[in-house]
Amino acid sequence: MVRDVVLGRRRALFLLALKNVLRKKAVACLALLGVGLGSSLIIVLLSLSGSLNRNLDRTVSALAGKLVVSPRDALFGGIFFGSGTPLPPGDLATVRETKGVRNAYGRVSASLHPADFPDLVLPFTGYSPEEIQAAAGTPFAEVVRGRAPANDKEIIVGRRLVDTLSFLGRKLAVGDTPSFQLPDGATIDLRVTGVFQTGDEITDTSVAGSIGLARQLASLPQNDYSSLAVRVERPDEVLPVEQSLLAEMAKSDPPVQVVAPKNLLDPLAASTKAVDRLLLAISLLSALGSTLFISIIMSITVVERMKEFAVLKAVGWCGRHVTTLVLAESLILSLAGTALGLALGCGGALVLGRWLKPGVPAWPQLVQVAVLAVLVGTVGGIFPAWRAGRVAPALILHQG
Amino acid sequence: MIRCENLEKTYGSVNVLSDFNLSLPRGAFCALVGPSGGGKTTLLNILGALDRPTAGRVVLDGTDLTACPEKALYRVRRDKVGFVFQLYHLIPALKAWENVLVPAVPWGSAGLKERAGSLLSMVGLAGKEDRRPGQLSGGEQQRVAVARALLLDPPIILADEPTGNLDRASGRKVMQLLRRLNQELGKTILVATHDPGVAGGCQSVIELGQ
Repeated sequence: MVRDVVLGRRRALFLLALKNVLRKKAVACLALLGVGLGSSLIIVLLSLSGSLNRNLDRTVSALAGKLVVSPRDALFGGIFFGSGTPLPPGDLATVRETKGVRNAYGRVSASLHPADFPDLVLPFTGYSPEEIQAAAGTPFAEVVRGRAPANDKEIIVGRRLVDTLSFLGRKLAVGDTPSFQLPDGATIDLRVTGVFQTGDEITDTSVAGSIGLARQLASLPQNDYSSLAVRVERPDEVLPVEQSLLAEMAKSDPPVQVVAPKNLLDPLAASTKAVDRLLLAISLLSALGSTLFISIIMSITVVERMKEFAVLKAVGWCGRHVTTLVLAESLILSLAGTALGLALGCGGALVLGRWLKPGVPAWPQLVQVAVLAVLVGTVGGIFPAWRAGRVAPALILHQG
Repeated sequence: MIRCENLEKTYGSVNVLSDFNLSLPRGAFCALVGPSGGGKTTLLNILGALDRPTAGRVVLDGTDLTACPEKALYRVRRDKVGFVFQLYHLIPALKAWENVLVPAVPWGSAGLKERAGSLLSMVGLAGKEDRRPGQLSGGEQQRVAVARALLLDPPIILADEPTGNLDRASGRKVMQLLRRLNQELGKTILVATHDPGVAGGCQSVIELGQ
């Protein structure tokens, strides 16, 4: 390495720094781990944060231009586990006649309880044949694996639910025929015919099937619905249509609520922003920790090598040269640590992606993390380098 | 070449050098002797621009060290002085020739590799250029240190107990080498030593700490 020292002062100093780094392998490994783990943690956090935001954006976009009419006693506005007092078929006719409504379909919500694990509740939505036929964006139209159910004994499962169950150690695959408990205590075997992905995270965390099956699961009378899915003519008409529906259905029995599912996500968006801020704070703390770590490691090596620096000064180096040498060593360690951190972080994001689909952050973010990591290593080296440059050779060499 | 006038050096209340005067001509080969704590190393450090006197004046090859700003002293160490230490102080990870090149690293050592090789040959280490300090005997390490001191061709060599850590035979070789540098290259050499045999081999002797 230093054989070619001879080609310029910067190169000579850099090669000597490289040689010095390789001298103390344990110290180098510690410094690499400090920077590497810090930057990999930031990458994983960025990946999770990106995943949260992407999923939220996708869901918001998928829910744009949609309204749900549901009984006021329905949970979560009737869009999730939405059972309450059933809505009579007359309500569907009223909604369809309201100005600005493009179409409306009755849905039935129910809960699926696996027979071997009744405490687990899987949200189930039954779709009417006309909605399945007419509307894009329903689970039936978005099957990504297998096929749509063909009868009341078949179901399809949202991809996110499959991932979540897999994460919890429970498999639900195409072709399986799990048993579920009915409200009267009997069980029913349902065949999983496919996996769907609509892009709407709420729907994708549920099970879908026919409305007949849903009525059976929820013990709902024929022609009654849990909720009404409404699509407006244009997304910007959601608010006026919501007002019209409230006016039209003011005297409905049971009393109803009109919900824009997108609005229900506002608190979720606020929570996501808070989580984003938390992840950013953790990232900054991690960067600070890495800076302190490399600073401590470099300080220890500088203390150990005081005599060497004294000799370098005795043979003609000035303080600035010694400082540059130690800074170069710090820079080399942080570059190597950054490479390690990028590898670990991207690997971690990919491993997490098997369950949570965060995905590796985009290139610009990786570059930002790399720049931050190199900066961390360099800043961490400033104090030890300054200290090394101020070594008093006579004093150190006299101490033997 | 080396001139000290009324030199004083105190550490707290301890007076190590007091009203010390010295004048050595170019090409002198002089031993500094005296008891431990007598000021030999202190004087070498001051002459080598590693330390400052408390009072007095030091002129080295025409440069007044006492008037030289702190930040410029490294030029004196680089251009005027070559240091040889009792404990050699080589960098363990570097090969012999790389250690010889160390003084030139900040300025780029282009073209100096051959010089490092020829200096190692001159000190009797031809064929051992690629060995690391741990693979060399004490005497050989000290000769590498001498070659390092000669790399930038300084007119003055300051040697602090250069044989203090060596057996008699190795010490004799090192002293023969210093004598050659003095006689063949005209280097001004100042050797601090406890060893009367070493002092006896020098042209003149200065006693400190009397």
